[in-house]
Amino acid sequence: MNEQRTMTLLTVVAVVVWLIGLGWSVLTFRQLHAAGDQLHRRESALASMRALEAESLHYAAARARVRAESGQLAVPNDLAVAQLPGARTDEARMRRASLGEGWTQLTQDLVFDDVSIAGAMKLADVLESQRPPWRLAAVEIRALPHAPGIGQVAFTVTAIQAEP
Amino acid sequence: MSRDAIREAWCRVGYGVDFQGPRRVVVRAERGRKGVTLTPVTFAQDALGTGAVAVAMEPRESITQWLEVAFGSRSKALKVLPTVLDIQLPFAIEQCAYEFPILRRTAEGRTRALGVAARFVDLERTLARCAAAGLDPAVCDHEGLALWTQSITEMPGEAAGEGAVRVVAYRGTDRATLVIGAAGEYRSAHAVRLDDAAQVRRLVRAAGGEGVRSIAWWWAGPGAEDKSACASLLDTIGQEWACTVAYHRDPANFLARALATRLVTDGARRCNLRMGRLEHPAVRQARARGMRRAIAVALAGGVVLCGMNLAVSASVRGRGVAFDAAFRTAAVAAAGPVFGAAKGEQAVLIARREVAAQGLAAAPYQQYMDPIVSRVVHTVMEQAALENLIIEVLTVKPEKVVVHGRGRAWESAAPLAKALEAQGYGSTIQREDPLPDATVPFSVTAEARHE
Repeated sequence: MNEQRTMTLLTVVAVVVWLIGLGWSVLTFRQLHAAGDQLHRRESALASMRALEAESLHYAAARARVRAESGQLAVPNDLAVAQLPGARTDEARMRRASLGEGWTQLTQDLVFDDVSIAGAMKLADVLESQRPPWRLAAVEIRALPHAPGIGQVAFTVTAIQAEP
Repeated sequence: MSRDAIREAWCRVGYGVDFQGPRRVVVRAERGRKGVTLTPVTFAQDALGTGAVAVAMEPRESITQWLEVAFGSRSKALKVLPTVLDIQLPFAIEQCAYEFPILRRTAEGRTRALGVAARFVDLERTLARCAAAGLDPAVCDHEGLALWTQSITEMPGEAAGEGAVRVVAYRGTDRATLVIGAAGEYRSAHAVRLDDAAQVRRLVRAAGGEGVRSIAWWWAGPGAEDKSACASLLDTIGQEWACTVAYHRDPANFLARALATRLVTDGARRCNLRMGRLEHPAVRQARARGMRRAIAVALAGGVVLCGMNLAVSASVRGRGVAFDAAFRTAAVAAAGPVFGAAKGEQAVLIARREVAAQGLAAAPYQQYMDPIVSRVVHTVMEQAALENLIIEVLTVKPEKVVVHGRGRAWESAAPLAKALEAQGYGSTIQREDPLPDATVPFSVTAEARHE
């Protein structure tokens, strides 16, 4: 009789555990279904955020590299005089813009009238090849109608320098 | 249930006992990998107490009856069948032990079942006889079914066609049993007097139906060793049918062999009428063990199910936490600690704004890293040299390129436009009518593509 009661109790326990397991399985299945959508959204958001992280790192890397190459800048007018002897240039004031964190962007306009266009292009190469370099930010070339290879050349060059 | 319990618990070895008046015929059966090994043993020498014992309920103390109910469902049929059997029995079913060893669904969606029953008083009498002989059988089998299964197992014999009747005639020292089957199926078993030809003919006709074509007589039992007596009996019985006569090997221990074989093997037509209040304690214990095992398996299954759910839930939660951590790390790396409580798409929007601001601030550095103006000027110059273009005005800014000039042909400016496309600009060409010197004025305007 006692054993019968024990068996009944065990059977009830087994059935209850089974039912809990089954009920839980149904809940888990529903959770999984919902979690699938949520996971998809999270994956999409994470992918977007990682792309932004990569972009941010790219900017940081550019800053780091520029700063690593920082040093004494050549004077553009001096290079122009060396490359285009006799060329008439309009003296323009060098503009400075702070980039923050102790860095400044320098901008200089170089305008040459009736100059050899090939010579001007060579000057551009020389400016770009300086260490630290001057970069061309804008170029305008106007050829003279009846003088092949000669024209008006305007360069805007920029460089980045640590603030003193 | 009880038979399975016996078999699982202790019935790899069993004994079939056939009472032949004062004599007992005992066969030991052992189930092995290669099948069942049967060994006749003497009653005294074998320790019957160590194994399961099966005895037979004779047809005069038991009954078999084919029944049919209108339910195709097994469980429903099993609920109804006792009532149907009760109607067929000459005594109240409450006084009987009964089983339905054959239960099958018919083509019409009904259930056809073979009911086997014996009165408890007859079972008690049989058990008392066994006890007097020092036996406590766990199984009280039905003699007719035992004879039939052993006959068709040992001698599959004739085709189970319509009209083909097999009769297993058991000729014992103190009784005779006739088991009749047709179309390969057990029909009925009867305690008979084999010298009563009219009774035998009537039973065969009743069991086999009017369309009996041929009868295969299989003799068994101690009396079957006297073949001439069997033949003369058959002469008086089987005149009206085409009969074939055969004898089972070792006919004297045929029934004991059948009982022992059924005890240690599984299959259809097995039954044990020792049940209810007469159930053998070992069978009850075996059933309890089986029950306990089933409960343990169910419990373990439930626990495993719960464990799996726990693991899956934890895994999903863990994955979510890992995602959040990775997201937060990427967000802080991209835009710094500017998110507050923002999450998901909202955080992406904030980060996008921050990174755009970073891009603006980093534009001078980007320009420094990627000298695009210089590159474009060189591209234009190279294309001009290749296509013999005369460049009149060239304006290059990172965002926009404008080239005015003249070409030698209508299509001369196209490669220049294509080269600017390759540098990341979207370009358009405008041309004018050729000049008197045959050159074609053109202007190419290219604007940076923002992707």
